[in-house]
Amino acid sequence: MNTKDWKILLVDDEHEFITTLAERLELRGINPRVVFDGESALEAVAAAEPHVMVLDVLMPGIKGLEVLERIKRTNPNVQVLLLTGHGSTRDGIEGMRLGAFDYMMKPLNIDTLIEKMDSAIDYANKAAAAAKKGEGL
Amino acid sequence: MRDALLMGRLTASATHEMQNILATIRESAGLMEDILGMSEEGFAHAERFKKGLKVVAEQVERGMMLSEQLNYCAHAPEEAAAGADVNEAARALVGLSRRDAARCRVSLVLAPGRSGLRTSLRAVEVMCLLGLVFGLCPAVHVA
Repeated sequence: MNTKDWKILLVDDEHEFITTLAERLELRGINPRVVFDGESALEAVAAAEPHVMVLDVLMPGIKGLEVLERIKRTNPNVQVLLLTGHGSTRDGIEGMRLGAFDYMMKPLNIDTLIEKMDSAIDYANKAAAAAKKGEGL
Repeated sequence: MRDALLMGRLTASATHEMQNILATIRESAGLMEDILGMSEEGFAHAERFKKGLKVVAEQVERGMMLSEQLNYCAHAPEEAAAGADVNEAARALVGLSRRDAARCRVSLVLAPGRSGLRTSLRAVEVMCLLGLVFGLCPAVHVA
């Protein structure tokens, strides 16, 4: 799949950080949607399911891990990459247990982020193909 | 003890904020680098800009390391079921004591140790004991 067709949702309450990250992704041909809290993330996923959601763990209001749990119940195909601080690796590990595809620590390396997005989309596509094959049997 | 836990909680929250600030600086510098890469030929001061951005990236790394060690200290007074990792405690202590040690013309270097060495003490107690051994915190007493 071409990066132009990737549906990416970025979720972080740090406006400057996440909008700058979005701008850098746009320069690389990826056009993400950006929301700034957990509530808006749930609404955005309900409106249009993304392939990958990049989700900050520590946000005011609904916390990242709760958003992850709810998304995995309603939209299990959405692959979630968690963003954690260096002191919050426990949240990253807990997130993996709850179904996150992976977690990354801030500050990010943009190339690594894009590689992880690519792997997440690849994983989702393979899982969908396997499920389809299973249905056909 | 309650004082230490309160200070730890405040410090942990502050280090999280610091990490967000550093992450924003890093992304902004990265964006400048991206834009510079697109317009390099027409920009007379490209090399000077690149050099400046490299310094920003290095200082962000330095800040992240300090913030990580400070965050470790913030959680050090907490009880942990698995106890404390001696190497991690030593790394945080050495990292945060370098400047003080340098003032006394002592260079602190952490040699790779046996990984996974744990103790039932809290991390703050391990740091205090190591600090006492190396004379880094003479006024601190371990309960």
